[in-house]
Amino acid sequence: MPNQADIALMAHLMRRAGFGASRAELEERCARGYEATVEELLNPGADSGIDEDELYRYFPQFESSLAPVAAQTEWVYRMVNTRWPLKEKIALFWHQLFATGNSKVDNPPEMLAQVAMFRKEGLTNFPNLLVRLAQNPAMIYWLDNNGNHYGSINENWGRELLELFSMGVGHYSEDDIKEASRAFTGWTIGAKPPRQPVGRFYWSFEFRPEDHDYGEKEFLGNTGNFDGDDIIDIIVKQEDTARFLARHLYNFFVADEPQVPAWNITPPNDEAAIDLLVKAYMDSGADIKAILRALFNSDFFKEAQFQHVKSPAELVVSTARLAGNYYQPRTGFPLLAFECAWQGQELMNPPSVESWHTGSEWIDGGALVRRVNFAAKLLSDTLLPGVKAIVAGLKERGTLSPADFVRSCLELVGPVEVDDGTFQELLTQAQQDGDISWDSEESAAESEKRAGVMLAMIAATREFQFA
Amino acid sequence: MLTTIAAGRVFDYSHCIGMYSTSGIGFLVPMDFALGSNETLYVLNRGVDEITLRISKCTLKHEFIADIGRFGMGDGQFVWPMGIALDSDENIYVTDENTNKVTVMDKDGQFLAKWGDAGSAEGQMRGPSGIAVDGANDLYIVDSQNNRVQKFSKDGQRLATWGSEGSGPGQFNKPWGLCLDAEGNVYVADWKNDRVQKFSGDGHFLAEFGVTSDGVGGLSRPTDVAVDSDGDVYVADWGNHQVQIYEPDGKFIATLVGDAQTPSPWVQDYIDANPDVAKARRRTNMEVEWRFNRPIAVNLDADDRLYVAESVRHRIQVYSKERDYAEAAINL
Amino acid sequence: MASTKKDPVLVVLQLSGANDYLNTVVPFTNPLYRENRPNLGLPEDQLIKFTDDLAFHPSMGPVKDLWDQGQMAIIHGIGYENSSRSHFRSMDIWHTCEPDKVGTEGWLGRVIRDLDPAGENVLKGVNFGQGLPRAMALRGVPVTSVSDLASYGVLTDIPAIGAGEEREQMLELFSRVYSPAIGTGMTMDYLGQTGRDALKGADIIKTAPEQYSSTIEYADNPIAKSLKSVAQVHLANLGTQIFYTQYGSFDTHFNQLPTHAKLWTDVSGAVSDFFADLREHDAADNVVMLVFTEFGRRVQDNGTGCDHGRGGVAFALGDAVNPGMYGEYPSMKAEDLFEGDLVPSYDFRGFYSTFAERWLGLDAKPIVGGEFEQMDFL
Repeated sequence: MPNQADIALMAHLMRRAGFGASRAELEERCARGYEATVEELLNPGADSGIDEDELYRYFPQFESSLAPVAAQTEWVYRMVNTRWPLKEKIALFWHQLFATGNSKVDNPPEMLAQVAMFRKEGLTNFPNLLVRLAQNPAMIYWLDNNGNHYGSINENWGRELLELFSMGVGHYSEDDIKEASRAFTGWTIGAKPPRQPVGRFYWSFEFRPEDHDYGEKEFLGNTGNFDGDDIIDIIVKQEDTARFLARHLYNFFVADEPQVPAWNITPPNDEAAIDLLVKAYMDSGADIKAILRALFNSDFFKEAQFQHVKSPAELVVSTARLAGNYYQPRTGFPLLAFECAWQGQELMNPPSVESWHTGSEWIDGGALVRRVNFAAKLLSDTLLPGVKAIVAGLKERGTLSPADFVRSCLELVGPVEVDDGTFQELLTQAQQDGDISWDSEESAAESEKRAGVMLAMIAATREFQFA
Repeated sequence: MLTTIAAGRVFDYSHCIGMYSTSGIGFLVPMDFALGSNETLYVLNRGVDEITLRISKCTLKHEFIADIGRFGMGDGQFVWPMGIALDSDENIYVTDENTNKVTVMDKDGQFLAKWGDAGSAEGQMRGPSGIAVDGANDLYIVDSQNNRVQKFSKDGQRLATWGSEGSGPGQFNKPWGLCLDAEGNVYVADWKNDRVQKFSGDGHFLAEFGVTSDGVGGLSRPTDVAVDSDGDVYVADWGNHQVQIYEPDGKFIATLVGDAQTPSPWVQDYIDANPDVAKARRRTNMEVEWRFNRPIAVNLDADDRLYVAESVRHRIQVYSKERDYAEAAINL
Repeated sequence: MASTKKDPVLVVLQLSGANDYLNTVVPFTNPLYRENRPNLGLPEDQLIKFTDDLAFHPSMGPVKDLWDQGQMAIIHGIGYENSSRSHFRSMDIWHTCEPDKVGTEGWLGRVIRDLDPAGENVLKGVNFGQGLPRAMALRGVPVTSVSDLASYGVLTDIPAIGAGEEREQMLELFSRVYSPAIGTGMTMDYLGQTGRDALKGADIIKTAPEQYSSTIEYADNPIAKSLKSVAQVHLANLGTQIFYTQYGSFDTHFNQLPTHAKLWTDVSGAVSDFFADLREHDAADNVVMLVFTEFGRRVQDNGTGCDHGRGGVAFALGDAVNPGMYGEYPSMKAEDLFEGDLVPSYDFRGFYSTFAERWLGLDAKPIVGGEFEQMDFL
């Protein structure tokens, strides 16, 4: 039986590198060990948990519909049911970093194709990913590179590539933007049949040599007849790029940082942590797995439990996984997608290319009420398989004093770490009805009911908002 | 190619029916369809995320008649409708893979009955999908999650059950569609085994054909099957986006890949009203639109015309089997 | 600025999915209408005529009554230059007033900030619907979004807790675990404050239905329910000045005739009941309603529906509105159309500015991002 600290650490890893894990999975992973689990997350087995044929058999609308909700639902389905949690999590990371929105792209299947690319390429290396991104049709349309022509450049993509996707503001000149933009001229989208009225067709990347500027460019102190790949090669060798990506990874996986616009004036929470990630980046040639391996195995990561406010997608997906009632094709998945949106994160539709603001900015009054009600409703339903398992775990512990009852609930639902004050309040609540016992059918039924209410209250705490 | 000539047969593309639409004319994610009398057509639309689900009743001449049914658990409502069939009075039978029920309606969509119990005991069903009606108005239903076929009277009395999980003869892996031939033999699209199995009407295994492959004669996740008056077998090869045709003994004949080069009249009306759509169609290679995308259901009419429904293209392509075809000279 | 002692209130009704201008305000004498609408043209004998040339959709009887009572302004040809045919993009533009870039700040967010700079009243702006429309989103401006007034609040609709004494007890526990005494750090403090505010806001707003009584019986559809909720909150005098709600989908590519008729039956009835309700309580004089859609639809029909277009129609409703028609119905002549669409003749930001300045008494320029022609409907 693993000790409580090991379980807590494993739960932390699974919350950050995935969307949480049940108690049974945590124990199993603890038996295999922390570093082995990191390796397994980075290089998962053959079974993704999603049978692609069955997915489209039971949800034919996922590949037939043109509606945003179908695309969002497919992604949520994959996040909830994946056995490759880090692949889904890194897709979410890249989606939040390379924020592309359906508000302009107006093409949910293309948005989903971009996410699929993040899932597939997201753990390779940064230069590869940037090239794929530059050639991704949704991105090309989102940042107007289809309007970036030889002799008449559109800087939108070139600017955001440098400012928001790689180096960060202040580390390049306006001329660098122009020169980069020249290098990406002719990188555009091939024509396809319109989606109406016989359904979707996919865009493809198209390089048009007659529209490409083959001339000499000066970019970040280098001179040559650069094209887009060359520009990306130069960008990814910059330490500024390593530092920028490190800070994003830290903010997403480790602990909430100030928002991006403040980065030039506000230093990172943990300079040494960023340095370590930068070193991993430079040493590995921007290999994402190498950087994440360093991150997850670091002390600063292990010490950062509950220092990250769950995004709506993290909250919704991890709660659904924990409740265990969304483990197979069923109706109701669209509601999970809507729930993310109603809590402030409409997947594939960030508010702008600057993406969602994270950390405490996920929370406002309406969002908080939604988060509390959503999680409390699922976790208080003792008929759901995951909640049943928690109740069974309580039952295994036999008769429980009120304090042990509260402690056990916190352990089995997370473990969730709460402030002493919160614990005292939960305890006062538990003490009203005395010990938990399972001796008779009546007392077992009563205990089960009390467990549901206690889990609802834990889901309603401030602490539950953190991962 | 519009005309496919192979093994002494000629399959000639005729036209298509349908378009993407949330209600009224057109379809949305068709799962199955049935051909009624007087050229009526009943198309079972899954719709999108619990809306726009309906049976579209229209004619083969592109006349819209009515939308029947909607999403829900009530009478005349469906959650995951999978299969549709008609009896000799043209009553409509619909299987629902989610509720494990069969719903019966008259041809105007008036609810008549609903039956079926969830479970794996004989007569119970889990994931009913393909459905066919024989000459005696008995029903054959693919009981998909139970990996078997069951025969019921039209009011739901179990008459026969066969099949089990596996890949051997008479075993299934999540089968989907089925059909009957003129002799009353039963053909089942054994979805995850990538094959079609043929049984006698009382469930004796007779033959199987198709292998897992995207090559000649191969199948990938076949969803439905139909048999013409010559005994030729047409399989909706869902995973490979094609229709495979086999001789009665299972010998492979030909592949159809979809040939909808001329839009349906509904689609044409839409294009005519949208100059930008018309322009967009002229600036690109339209071949991808002609081809099957998720052929999901196949049926034949009394003249051996083949109808192929595509869930991603929201339409039905129609082929005729030409019997007095004179081949043009090859050296033209 | 209207000469009323009560604070002015604006109710925004968004017709989502692009309402068909031509079949809402029908130019029935124009032969081009019949020519372009062989399948969707509304029979003349069913139309509700209000001028010699124009008529309302047959389902808009209650709206015609408002017109007859001098409570309605029709704004023709509204839109913006280089109109987008994407719902999402166009709605975004209407919400943010940013046609050239992807904006994040909602125009009503800026209105609410200017009405209540200190953010003292979390109910200054209230949305009825799921999630917050971008029009009301502005960092630092608290607004309340209510999906269902009857069940709004913390720990509602949770069977294990119920709605009785147990829930009351849970809410007390909730307020204690969100108290300032617990937890350390900025984020914990912020969460605590937000949780307590939410509890308070819910406590206040839930009094609205309790106080409410009316002889008006709203129909049973979502827009009627939303506007009834607006009436309830307005009548409770909670200081709300901006209400937002939406209805749809008006995206009638297919099967338009029955769909559009149903939508306008619902909207007309709900709007008419809403104003009748306010009048019954002598609370209509400080309320105007803004009705808009993201764009109009294609002039030529496509068989059973019509597709995305450009120029559209908007309405202003209420006692304070100077009734009549504003702007011009865009020409339907083929040579005047842009890719088959009516060309907008009036920028929606001028429409917004009129409300912001003449009704709410605010400086419109920073709200809509520039100076645009206002109209005299207020």
